[in-house]
Amino acid sequence: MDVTISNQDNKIFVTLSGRLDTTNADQFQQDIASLMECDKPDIDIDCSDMSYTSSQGLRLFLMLQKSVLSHGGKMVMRNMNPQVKEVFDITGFSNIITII
Amino acid sequence: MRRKSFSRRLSWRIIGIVSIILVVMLVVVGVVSSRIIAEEALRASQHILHGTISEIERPLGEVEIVTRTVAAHAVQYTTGKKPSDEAIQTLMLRTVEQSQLIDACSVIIPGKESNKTYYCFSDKDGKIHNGILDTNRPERKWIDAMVAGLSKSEKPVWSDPHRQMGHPDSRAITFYYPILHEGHLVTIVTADLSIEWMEQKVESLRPYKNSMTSILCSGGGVIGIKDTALLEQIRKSFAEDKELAALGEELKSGKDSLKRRLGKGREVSFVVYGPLHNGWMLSIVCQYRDVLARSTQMQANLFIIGFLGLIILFVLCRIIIYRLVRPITQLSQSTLKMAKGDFSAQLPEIKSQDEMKSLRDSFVYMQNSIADYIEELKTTTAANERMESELGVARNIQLGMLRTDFPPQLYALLNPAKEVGGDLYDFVYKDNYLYFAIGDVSGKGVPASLMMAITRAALRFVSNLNLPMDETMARVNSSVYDINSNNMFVTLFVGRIDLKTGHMEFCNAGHNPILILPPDGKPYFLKAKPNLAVGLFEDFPYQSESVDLCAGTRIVAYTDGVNEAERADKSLFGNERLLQWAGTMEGSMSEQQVVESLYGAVKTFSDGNPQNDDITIMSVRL
Repeated sequence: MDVTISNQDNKIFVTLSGRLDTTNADQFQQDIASLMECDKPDIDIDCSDMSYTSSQGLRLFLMLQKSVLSHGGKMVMRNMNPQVKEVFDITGFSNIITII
Repeated sequence: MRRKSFSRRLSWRIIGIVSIILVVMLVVVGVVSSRIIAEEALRASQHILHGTISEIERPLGEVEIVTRTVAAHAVQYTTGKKPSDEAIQTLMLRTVEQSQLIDACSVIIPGKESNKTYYCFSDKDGKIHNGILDTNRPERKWIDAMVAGLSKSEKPVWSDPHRQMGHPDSRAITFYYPILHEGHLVTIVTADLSIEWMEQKVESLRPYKNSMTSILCSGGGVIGIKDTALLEQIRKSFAEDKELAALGEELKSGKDSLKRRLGKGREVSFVVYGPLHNGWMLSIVCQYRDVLARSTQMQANLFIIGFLGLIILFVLCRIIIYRLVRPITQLSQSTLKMAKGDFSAQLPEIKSQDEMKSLRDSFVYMQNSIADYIEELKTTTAANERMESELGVARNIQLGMLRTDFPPQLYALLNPAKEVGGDLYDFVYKDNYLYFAIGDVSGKGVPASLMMAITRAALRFVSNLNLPMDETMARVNSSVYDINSNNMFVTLFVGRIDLKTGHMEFCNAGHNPILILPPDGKPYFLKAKPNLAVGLFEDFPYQSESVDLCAGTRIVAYTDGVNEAERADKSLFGNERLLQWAGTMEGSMSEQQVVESLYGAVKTFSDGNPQNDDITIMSVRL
């Protein structure tokens, strides 16, 4: 799982690639920890190269979403591949996370 | 294989190197010293030679002078008007009496028919014989030949050794002094010199053990070698050996060359020689073997001393090296003990402040570190064991929460990836209704198992309230949400089947779609409204829906441990394989067979790859 975070025009761009599973979920949590402290963040997550996410990954996306909402910001996830999208749909996460 | 001792190997190498150096040294010393000794021997021999020559020449010279004096007187009597026998004999008598050297003398007056010879000699008793030699004496022939020779050469000459007159046991040499008058040989004066002293001198002159000193006379006679057999042998070898023959010629010719090298191999000799004034040749033959005998002996002694030294060196080397490496041996023994688990193994005490000491200190440090580490490991292991045993108990408790009293039309299997897991299932028959649920807590292990227990308790409690499925789900959600401070969630499917009509009301909160296997038709995934997983938002509006199923329909519910089972190549079991598997199920199979078949299919697919998520499968038949 590779995570790159960049700032541009007050927007935070996150690019994810690879598998997000049990083995690297903790690392991913550390990677996104900084994002949870921003005030009114505007986060754009590009998932085009993310091939898989486990339920632990889902939980982290959810934590991030909740944090973003509590800080008065917004977050979108884009370019999910169908398998990943299906997981988000099945679990109902599509209802609470903006996926475009 | 027997281990070779370090000290022995090192000792052998040292001995090898020292031996080579020693041998080279001895050889060089041997060669050089032999050469020096040989040169010195040659020089000494030449010195002796010259000394001897002058010693021998002195009496010869005296005899010559006396003879000349006698001749000077004799010539008066012989060339006068009338020779006086008496006067000549008196002269000769006086000469023999007064000269200590001359034992005999004679005056020969060559005649046309015969040579007149006056003689005078003292015999071995000191008695003097005086007279004129008879014409029929055997010596006459010899005298005649001498006279003939001298009348040609007209020069004084020394004869070869011959038997001494009146002394049968000793030999003498004779000096012939010819007197010429008006170009004619008129008188010959002779004087005999006993050569006993000369023979003794020459014989005793042996610079080395097998040295041989000899005088080669002009006529081929030899002084110094009495042994006639040996003399004959030498003559023979002179004749056969070209080298010796050449030397013989050189000696005879009186050439002034002073040394020669003779022979081969061990018999190599050198010869020093020099001429006497009368044309004789004095030679000393020395064998190199004798010359070098002492040096050879010395070398042999050196070899023996060197050899003994090597043995002592070897022993000392072994002792010293053994002492030096003993700490290593002891360290290795201690290390072996440590390797076998005895960390209290005593390390050798080292007093020297060198590498051994630092090695030993390192070992001590290592010993302590390992001992500490092992101690720590023991503690950790004990803690782990305790935790494992606790986990084992937890597992039993968790599995105890799951119903296993399956009726014939229902079977379920739950296999956690770790000791405890986050999957759950439940079912209740009540008033002709079958309530069933299957769920999966996000994550695995102990946290998931606690969430699972809470969810299972909430579910059991809520299902007793006979609420619609959406309401049931909302209440469970609310219960889980209350205690969910860690943002975990549970995907949950709950269903209620009217066993009379086949009507199923269900609510799917983020769970995998369940499989429907109609008795006469293709299996399919039951589509459901996308409700959010349980535990995330307190008042999420869950929506239920319903479906009518005909009798004989089979419902297979599962968790993502099934469809997301991984192979080593990271490919997933997937929904396609799930549908394919469902197609192979037959109505005659029991629910247990169905569940075990799917579990088997998943295990076959993952091909030994460790299970990384809890697996739950439940099959229900209407």
